[in-house]
Amino acid sequence: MSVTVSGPSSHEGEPSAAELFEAGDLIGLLRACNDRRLEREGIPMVLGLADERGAIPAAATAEQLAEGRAFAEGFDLYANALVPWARDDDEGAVIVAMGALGFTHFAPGAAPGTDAARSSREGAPE
Amino acid sequence: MTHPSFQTQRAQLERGHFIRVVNYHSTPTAARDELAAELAGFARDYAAVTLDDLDRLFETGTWHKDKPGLIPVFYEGYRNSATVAAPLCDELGLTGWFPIATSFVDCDPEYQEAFARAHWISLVEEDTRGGRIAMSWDEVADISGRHVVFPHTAHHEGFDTVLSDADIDREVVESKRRLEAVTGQPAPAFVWLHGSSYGQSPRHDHAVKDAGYRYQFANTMIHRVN
Repeated sequence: MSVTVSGPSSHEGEPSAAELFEAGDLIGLLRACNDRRLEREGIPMVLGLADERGAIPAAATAEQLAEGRAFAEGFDLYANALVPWARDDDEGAVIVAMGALGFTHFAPGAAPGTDAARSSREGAPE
Repeated sequence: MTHPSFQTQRAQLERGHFIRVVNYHSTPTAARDELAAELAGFARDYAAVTLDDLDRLFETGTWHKDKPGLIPVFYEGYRNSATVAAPLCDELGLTGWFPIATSFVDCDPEYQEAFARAHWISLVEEDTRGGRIAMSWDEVADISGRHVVFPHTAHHEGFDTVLSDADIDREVVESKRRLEAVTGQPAPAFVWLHGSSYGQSPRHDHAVKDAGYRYQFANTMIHRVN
């Protein structure tokens, strides 16, 4: 299983999620996540799994665990960048961060946010 | 009960307990080619997720196919989910998951636009040319043979507006009975309007569990309930 995927074509003339993030345009990234053309484009999501009857057995493959850890890092990256003000149990804010994670892994021009991107953003003028 | 939170979500991801989902709504004929291109991209990179595949993922914690799994979800029970989305999934080897507002399907076509506008079901231009907007029950039965269909309440309601016992019975229990009567198989999942999570209201959680649903879909996670 690969973290980086090649998705369908991007909106013509619009920067990719990765480019928006690289540029430190967090509002642009947020808008791109929400401004899907719903009559022709899906909303990509990465959903967690919860078993209310008991624990889910540990994932048995290193690949799946590595991908999960990469997703968790991406989730933290977007949570810190987009909704740093949120309570831990703010469901809407969780969805915003998960939405950004899904968008950057599924959407046109998808590319996961990286430490390099974070460094670039942190180094950008305020 | 698992409440959605940053801590919970992070832990689920770190344990490798996740699945990719793409949520769709109206899929009009006019945009069929664009939807086809998007779904073809997903079909190339991901594997279909059947109900058995999801059961296995919960039972073992491990995804068992070569490609990662992806669930395309087509919400509400639009007619074009049956005439556009489901055939594309068939062509591409994807398993579509179809949450259906059962009273939308039951509604006389003459009043379906009003039903949609009264119940937060978004419409595109093609839906407003007159005629039936929702699937027919025959279409529901047909796609249930190849895809996964389940109630999205009866009237496209959120748990926070379903207040009385009668409301709960109508939206959670009767919607399941209505769907199962047509498909001849247990409805395996349930989802509230807004994709609200299990664990937010014990009364509503019990209703979903007692109705016999196996899963509750939410915008943060999929809960295995039974």
